[in-house]
Amino acid sequence: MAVPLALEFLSCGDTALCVQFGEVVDRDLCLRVVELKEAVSRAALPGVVETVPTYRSLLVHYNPLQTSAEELKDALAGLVEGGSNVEREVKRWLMPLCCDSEFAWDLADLSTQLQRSELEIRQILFDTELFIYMIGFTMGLLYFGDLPQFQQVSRRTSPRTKLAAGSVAVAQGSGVIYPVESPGGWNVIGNTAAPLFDVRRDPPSLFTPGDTIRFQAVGRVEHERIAEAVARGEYELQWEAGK
Amino acid sequence: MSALMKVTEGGFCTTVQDLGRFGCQAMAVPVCGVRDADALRLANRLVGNEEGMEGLDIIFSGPAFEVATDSVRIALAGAEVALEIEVPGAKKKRLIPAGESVRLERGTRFAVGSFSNSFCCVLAVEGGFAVEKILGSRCTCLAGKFGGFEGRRLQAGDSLPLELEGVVTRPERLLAGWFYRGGTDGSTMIRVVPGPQEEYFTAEAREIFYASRYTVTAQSNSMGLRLEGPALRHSSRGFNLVSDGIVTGSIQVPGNGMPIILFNDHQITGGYPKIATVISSDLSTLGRLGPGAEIFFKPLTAAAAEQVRRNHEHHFQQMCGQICEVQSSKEALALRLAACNLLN
Repeated sequence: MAVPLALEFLSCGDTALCVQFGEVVDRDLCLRVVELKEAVSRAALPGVVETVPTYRSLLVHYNPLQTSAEELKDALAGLVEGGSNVEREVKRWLMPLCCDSEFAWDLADLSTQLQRSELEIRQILFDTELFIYMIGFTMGLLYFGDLPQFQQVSRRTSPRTKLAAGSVAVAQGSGVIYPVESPGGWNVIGNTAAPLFDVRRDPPSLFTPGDTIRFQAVGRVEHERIAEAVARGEYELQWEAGK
Repeated sequence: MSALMKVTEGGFCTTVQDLGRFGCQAMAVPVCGVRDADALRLANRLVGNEEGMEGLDIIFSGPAFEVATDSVRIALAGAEVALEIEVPGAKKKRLIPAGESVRLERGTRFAVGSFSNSFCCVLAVEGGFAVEKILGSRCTCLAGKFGGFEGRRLQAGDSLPLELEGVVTRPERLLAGWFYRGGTDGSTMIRVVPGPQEEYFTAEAREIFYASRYTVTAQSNSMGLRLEGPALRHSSRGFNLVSDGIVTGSIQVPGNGMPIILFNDHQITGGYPKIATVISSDLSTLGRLGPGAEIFFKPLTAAAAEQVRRNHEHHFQQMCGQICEVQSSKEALALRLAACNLLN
């Protein structure tokens, strides 16, 4: 991989160790994190409770009654060294997105900010294969990129107190999908009816960092139809195998 | 027939909690769980449960119930508090202090009394609650509105389903010494491991952090304890990170310089620098602190904190070894008085 590796182990108390690969948003760096997560999972290190990947680090939760940070550092460093040969299945998700005015609350605003037509903005979103960087914050919030065309778009100065579940929003060259109704400050440009997060499903989220998303434009009627099928448990989100 | 405990008063915030929902943080599912884990483990031992079984996490003021099944066995732990049990035909209530189990029969009404030396306490029930296990846990996630009893706090009129319709009569269990105390009096020392982002703070800020006292504010909740005290200045690196993982006990400092200790229901990732992390052995202590409590921080290395945790477990098991069985309430009283050196 092309990323210059600045591997660091950061103390997070006596029950977690952060393996930091860098401090920036970068696909290769993110993939290194995902690779290590896989490697840790396969190695079944004693005392490791669970791991949490972020844009640039893997947080390793451990039980100090069974292992120690020192012991883990050695094991993890070993896995980083030998970790790049992991064959991971990448899913290229095809996700329905409805950009009707009812859902695209901030599209007009964005159009003014970027001096581009609403159609152009939508086109950028539908034409880009987007990379999932992280499932984070809370309840399966999905972070994706890269949208350099939207780099200069800032978050709203006053965040909205309530965004609908399925809201797709952008800011500063990145995007998020809110799986559950929540407050949020990103610029909403559409809504997906895709099944995003369900605690009664294991795992509750279908997505893994390193997967990609291609949005498929759907109209209001199709959006409704999908939402109903999801509610009945009869909708399966489509994906293609990638590498 | 169903086994129930009818809720006659919900209390300030009473939820079904266990030791947390682990294993799905990578999907950003919050851990949640009981505020005072030591108290839950002890209360469970008293009623004869596994230490990690779900119980009721009771914050600030106590709920009240009516037994709507053949019998239940319950115990309180975590604060100086008593079960106030109505006795038919009698004006005076029967009091069972925390640290002692009791068996109650159908129709009995009881309340969790007031407590002031901790912000919370725990009620365990033999056999636990018949609520759905979600992603491996029965704990309530208030933010996600799932888990526990209908994903929310208890309120009057609820019927809390129990696993057991009845419990056998047997000697009750009591921890006489009660050397496990809650306590919000005076300043509480909270031990921390510095990092993971210490270099995002000026040398002066790091010094201030360990030399000052901070007060838990009323804006705190189970997601985070918001502190008030001397502001901590960020170094030239600023206060915006590319999102990074968070653990229970992470102390993040946003732009205003006021630390927030992220607690059980915390978000999984965040973009503010974290100056230190509370050690796991002090999380129960932290859970017992309510608004107004004053704390100060003492730094430890990660290796030292791990050793503290091992010692903590050893002491906890030693304490549980002191649990004894009592045949009558008279015997229980005698043991309690002996423990207070009031009776030989």
